[in-house]
Amino acid sequence: MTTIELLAPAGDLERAKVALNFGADAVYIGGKRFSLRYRASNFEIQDIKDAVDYAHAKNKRVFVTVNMIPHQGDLNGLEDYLKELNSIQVDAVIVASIGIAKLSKKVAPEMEVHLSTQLSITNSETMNFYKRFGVDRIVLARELSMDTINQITDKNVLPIEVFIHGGMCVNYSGRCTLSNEMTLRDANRGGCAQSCRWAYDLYQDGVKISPEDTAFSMGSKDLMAMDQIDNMMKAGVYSLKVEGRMKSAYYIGVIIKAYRRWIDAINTHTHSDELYQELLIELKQAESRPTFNGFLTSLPNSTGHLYHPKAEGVVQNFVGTVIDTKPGYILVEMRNLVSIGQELECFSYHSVPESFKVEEMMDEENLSIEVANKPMSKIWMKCELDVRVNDFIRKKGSQ
Amino acid sequence: MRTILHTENLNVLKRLLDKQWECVITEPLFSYRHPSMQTVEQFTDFYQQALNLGYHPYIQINGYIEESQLIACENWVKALIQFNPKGFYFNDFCIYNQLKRNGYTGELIYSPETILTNAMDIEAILELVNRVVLSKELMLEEITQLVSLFPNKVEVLGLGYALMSFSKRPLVRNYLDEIGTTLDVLNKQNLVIKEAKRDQLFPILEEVQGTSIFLGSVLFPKHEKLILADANCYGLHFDDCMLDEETFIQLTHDLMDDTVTLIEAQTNSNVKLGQAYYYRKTNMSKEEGK
Repeated sequence: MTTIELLAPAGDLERAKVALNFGADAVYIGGKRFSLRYRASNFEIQDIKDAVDYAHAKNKRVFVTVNMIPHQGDLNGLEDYLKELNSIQVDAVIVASIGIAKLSKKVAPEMEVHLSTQLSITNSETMNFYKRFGVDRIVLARELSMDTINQITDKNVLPIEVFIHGGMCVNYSGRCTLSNEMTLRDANRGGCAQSCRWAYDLYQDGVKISPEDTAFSMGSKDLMAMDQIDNMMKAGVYSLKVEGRMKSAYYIGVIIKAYRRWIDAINTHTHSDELYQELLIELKQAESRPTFNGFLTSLPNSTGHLYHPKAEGVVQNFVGTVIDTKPGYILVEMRNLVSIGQELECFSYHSVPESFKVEEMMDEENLSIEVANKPMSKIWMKCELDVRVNDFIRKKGSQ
Repeated sequence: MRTILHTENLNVLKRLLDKQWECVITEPLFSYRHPSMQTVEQFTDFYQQALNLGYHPYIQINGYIEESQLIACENWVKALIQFNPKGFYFNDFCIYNQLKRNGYTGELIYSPETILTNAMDIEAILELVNRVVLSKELMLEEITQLVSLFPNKVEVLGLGYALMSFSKRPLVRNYLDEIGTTLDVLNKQNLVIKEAKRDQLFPILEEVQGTSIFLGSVLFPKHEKLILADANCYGLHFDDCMLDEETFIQLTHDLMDDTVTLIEAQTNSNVKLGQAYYYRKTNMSKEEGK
């Protein structure tokens, strides 16, 4: 079994650092152009360089998504952009276009080229086809079973990257224009409005079949493949990818730390059912949607969809991020309601979670308060633990 | 500019025989969107009858081939080569490799439904194949620009329901299971979905290979077909999937007859006609979009 890469998403420099600190071997980020998340990107070139420098100092890597499927009018400046990424030592670009792959190899030869899941690659023969363009890695389609992934890695054509966690497209990625039709926002150019998650009615021969209480929806549960990590490592998958460049720093911290612990445990033969169950509970601390393991063990049936999204309970226990400390106190930027007497937990990359009871809180005007209920407010809390700036505070258990 | 028929209906081929159009037949084993043709025997018989009528068919293999299917797929590709089709339309590049490896020398046309939207990609692919079929989600202005850059190398949908999405999941079956309803929906062309806030009915087709959802109106480029011809478009695809025979034949005649106006064609038809994305810019931001 070889060491496997844990690849994390990051929507900004702060989240890139969180991912790397919590155990990712590499992060993928999107710049302000040519990326599917470009409208939400906080990565100017200098930010990308800062992320690269930060990662390289830790002997880790940074990939930049250039994964838009561009129309002719979107291509201006692409060559200069690739050269710029090359010059700041970005390790790889993730692309969904043969043309961009070829161009990158020509003008930015030091960067690896990874082919995106947008190209829906499902077999080694197609990988062989793309190999002629000099690509270095393939991100497989999310529609594949573990058996199929095994068969592909056996052929050893190119390093394989597989999604293990996060949002799922219900359609083959890149082959969906629902959003274009419904909202005039191009899914393949960063505009996906997730129209698959909307409510529809189904008709046959003009007769409505959908009952009033259950709309036809294509919305998918999120992927969670903890149960297949061991198999992926045995299969020789090169990289395990977490989806979610739009997700919070807390989400990334929780998810990456859980998978890091599980991968390390497998590598050191210390994995156990007990640890597995503990990590499953840990993963749920950050989920915003119910999960399943996608196509890895079977073709998704009705339980792989979200027909009643509001009825599917999720844990929302994130309290806030520590933004300052002083002896015996922490300053928390709040996200959720907290009351005096509540049991909280500090979650960080540098120690195991430790809990404390809220005995004292003060608002920004240093007035003592019983309840903190304003999102983004800054609240001093009494806390005697070894807590550092950027650590996360959450409710203990699933309160 | 050629017209290229996609149909599984022999009557359609017969009724349009005098037009001397090309035809594409989708094979049933590794493809989707072939609701009326499920077996090798049906395909072989249809192909032979098309030949007997005087057509020299193209064969389409438009599925996503999985690793475990590669050997069976290649054996089938070898068999299909023996049909001596005029060419192959394909989506997955493994088909390209298999055709080449097995000595096929006819026409190869890359047809991925979406993701082919710019000259850089088209140029790279045309180094390997004879022609390409453009994505459906392009504006007319973009289509004519790309078609002009590669004269007689680019094809587009000309008449029919444009594909909006394709899922490997049995979306309708899963939903019926959820609501506890048993209906025979496999390969049926009588299902539509309607979003709560929109009037449009989107045809939905569930097959063993997955679920296709189509735009709510039939692409009908009444005026635009001349623009495409002037731009040196190689061919327009006329596809009868999700349309009944009479409707399709009527639409075909109305589209080709220059004396029939768009309004008259709409009046003659029981389906909504549209221009897909010809005049709709779809790279809106969240704030700009609907």
